[in-house]
Amino acid sequence: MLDLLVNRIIEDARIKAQRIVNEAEREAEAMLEARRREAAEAAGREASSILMKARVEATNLRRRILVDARMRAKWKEIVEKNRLIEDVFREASRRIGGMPRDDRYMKFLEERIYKYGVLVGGGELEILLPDRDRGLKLDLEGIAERISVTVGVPTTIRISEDSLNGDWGVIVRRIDGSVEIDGSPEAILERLKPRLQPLLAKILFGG
Amino acid sequence: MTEDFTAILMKLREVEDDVRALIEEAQDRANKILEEAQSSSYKIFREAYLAEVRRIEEEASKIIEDARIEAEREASTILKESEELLEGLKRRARERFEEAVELVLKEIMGG
Repeated sequence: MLDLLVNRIIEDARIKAQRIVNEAEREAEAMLEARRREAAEAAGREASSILMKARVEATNLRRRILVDARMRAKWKEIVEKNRLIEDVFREASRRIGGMPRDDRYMKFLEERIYKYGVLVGGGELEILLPDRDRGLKLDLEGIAERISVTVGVPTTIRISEDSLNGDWGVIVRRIDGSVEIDGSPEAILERLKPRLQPLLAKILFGG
Repeated sequence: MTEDFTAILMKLREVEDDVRALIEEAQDRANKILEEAQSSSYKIFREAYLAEVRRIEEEASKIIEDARIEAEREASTILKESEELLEGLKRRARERFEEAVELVLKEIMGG
């Protein structure tokens, strides 16, 4: 009888002890769960700021990429248009270079010499011609006379020993080297470009 | 009879000691469990916090990456359309090339 009672008391004590441990485990788990929740809430408070920054960065990145693409496209268009316009100038220059040295070309050359001679103010002048044009029968005396009349300064013209680089054109300069008008192909084309480029763009691209 | 009673009392005292020991032991274990939980709670908080921040940062990275992919797709379309436009431009320029050269020739020879 006593043994039964003792066993019962011990068993009850064991159950109570286990309850104490179980309760502590539950409490510990609840404490840790609460900390986890607190952590998620704290991180959540930062989330909106992190996500907002990401959205701003995404918008900026998108804008940068698209602006860059549009600029690259525009740049390619400009480069290509310039290239096509340059092709026109190059072709025109090539054709003049290959032109027969007939009356038309002679007239063109003599008009250039006259015009440049007037611009330098007459006087003792020399002209530089491409090698292939040095043998042309130009009326240099007639041109000098016209310049003299136009500017009121006695004028002479001789062909320089130097040659002009290029296939066509002429450089007119005073013998003392004080003034020079460059009528080489490059110089003539460069002078024409500011005025002709918009016209050529309109012809070539319709804009 | 008195001897039996004394024996019962002695037995009960022994049991009382055992019970006390059992409860104290359980109490000690419980205290230890709570202490351990308390001491690891900061670590738990930190780990959970960092894990959540990592998850959010991954979400943020994805927002940026998605925007980049989408923008690059659009950029590629812009460049493709520009190439097509350029081809049209070149075609037209080829057709009008002679007229343009004539204009330059006229300007040079006439000037």
